[in-house]
Amino acid sequence: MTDRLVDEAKLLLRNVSFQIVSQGAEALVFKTNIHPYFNDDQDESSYIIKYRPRKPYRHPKIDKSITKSRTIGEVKFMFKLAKAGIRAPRVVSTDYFNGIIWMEHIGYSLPDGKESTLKNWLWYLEKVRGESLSEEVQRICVEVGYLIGDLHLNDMIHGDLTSSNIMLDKKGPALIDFGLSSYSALPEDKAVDLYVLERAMNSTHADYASEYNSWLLKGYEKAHSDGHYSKQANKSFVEIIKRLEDVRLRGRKRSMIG
Amino acid sequence: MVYLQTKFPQFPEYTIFISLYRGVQKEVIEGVKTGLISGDEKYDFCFLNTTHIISVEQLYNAVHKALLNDLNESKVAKTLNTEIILNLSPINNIGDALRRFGVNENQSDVIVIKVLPSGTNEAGLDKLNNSVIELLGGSSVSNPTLNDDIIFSDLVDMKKLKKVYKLNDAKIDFSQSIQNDISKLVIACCHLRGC
Ligand SMILES: Nc1ncnc2c1ncn2[C@@H]1O[C@H](COP(=O)(O)OP(=O)(O)O)[C@@H](O)[C@H]1O
Ligand SMILES: [Mg+2]
Repeated sequence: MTDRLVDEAKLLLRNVSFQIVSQGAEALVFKTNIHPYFNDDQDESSYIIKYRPRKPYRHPKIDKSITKSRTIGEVKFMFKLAKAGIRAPRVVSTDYFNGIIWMEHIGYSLPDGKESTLKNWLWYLEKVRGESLSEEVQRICVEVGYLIGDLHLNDMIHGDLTSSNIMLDKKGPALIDFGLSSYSALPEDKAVDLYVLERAMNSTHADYASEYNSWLLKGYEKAHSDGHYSKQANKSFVEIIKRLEDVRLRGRKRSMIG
Repeated sequence: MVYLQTKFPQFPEYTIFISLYRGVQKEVIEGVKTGLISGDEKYDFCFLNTTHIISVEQLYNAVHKALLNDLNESKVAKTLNTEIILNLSPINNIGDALRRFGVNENQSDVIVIKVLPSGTNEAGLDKLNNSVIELLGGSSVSNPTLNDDIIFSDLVDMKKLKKVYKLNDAKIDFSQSIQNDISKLVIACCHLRGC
């Protein structure tokens, strides 16, 4: 199954060698040292190729148009983030017709060989080093919260905030994976975005989630009180947190019923 | 006598030639335009003015995308040269792209791009460059190396570029060079043309 998809990708990415980084429900993610149009021998940068393969169970025409619109949506979101100065990979090239995005690679290899997503980094610290509650972890969580605050202050909703969709590198955290992203100024939508992250942290990092979540919210609040944005920002923070409490309550009720 | 040549990994069958000519006379440019309109084979190049060009990378991106569209059979323009020009533009209209990015009488700096079969050797490229120099006025034009420095210091009009790509409200990342940051934004804009 996957082999077939990888072969398809090889055919589309003629002469570009790559490694497989991840295979999700919707996309395959590859890493390569090859730039599609700007190679120079001194450059040691890596690039990510996100490939949304055809879904054989969908009608080919509908399939093409769904793939195309998701791919375009993700590129548009990445462009808006870049324009707003919010850290995320830069777009390098696109092939909407075939569901391909080339982007900058963000991050580094952790000592255990894994990519430096927030999840892998925290897991590495939890399992290998036993240093989960260090000042560094706190600082990074606050920075991530700040980044999400910045995102929401631009009325952008990530839609799938998890610790795998946050990359870390020397410059700090960056967001990735905008297949479910959207635009909204509503506190409700922002609260749901935060709730999704909170839930993801609870299930992925069960032992330390309450600390992580409180640091994330601390950073989120900091973005709203930092003065980069209007005076309204503080007020809107209060509103979002109020909504977050409602959303949590609804979530709890739902899980009690079913 | 200098020009850039490159190949794209996905398109080993082509060599891309890009070169800069300065001091091109008004009458010569009028001649180029006439030649382009009449489809004169001598003028079978992609001719650009430099106002809205911020980097070499931006040019390569447009050529790469044009070749990709050609491969996917999704080219909008009739010729590859025009498809390259369209792919430099954030606006999905060939006439508009030609007006903004094509040559015009008031601009004496001209960038020329040509997609060649990859068999073309050094001597062939030299010959090609010479023929373009002849076409654009011979000894009255200069042919300096096209690179990001000359683009940024001498060629680009940042004000006009930001306007065309609607980047006036963009937050520039000063941790890297402004030129590099804007170049990346411009490239993303081109990929979102008509989306
Ligand atoms: N720009 C990038 N830089 C570094 N790693 C990336 C990048 N984009 C994706 N990845 C890696 O690939 C994984 C999956 O990519 P993602 O865009 O989240 O796809 P999916 O929709 O399948 O979750 C990420 O968790 C991360 O490890
Ligand atoms: Mg993901």
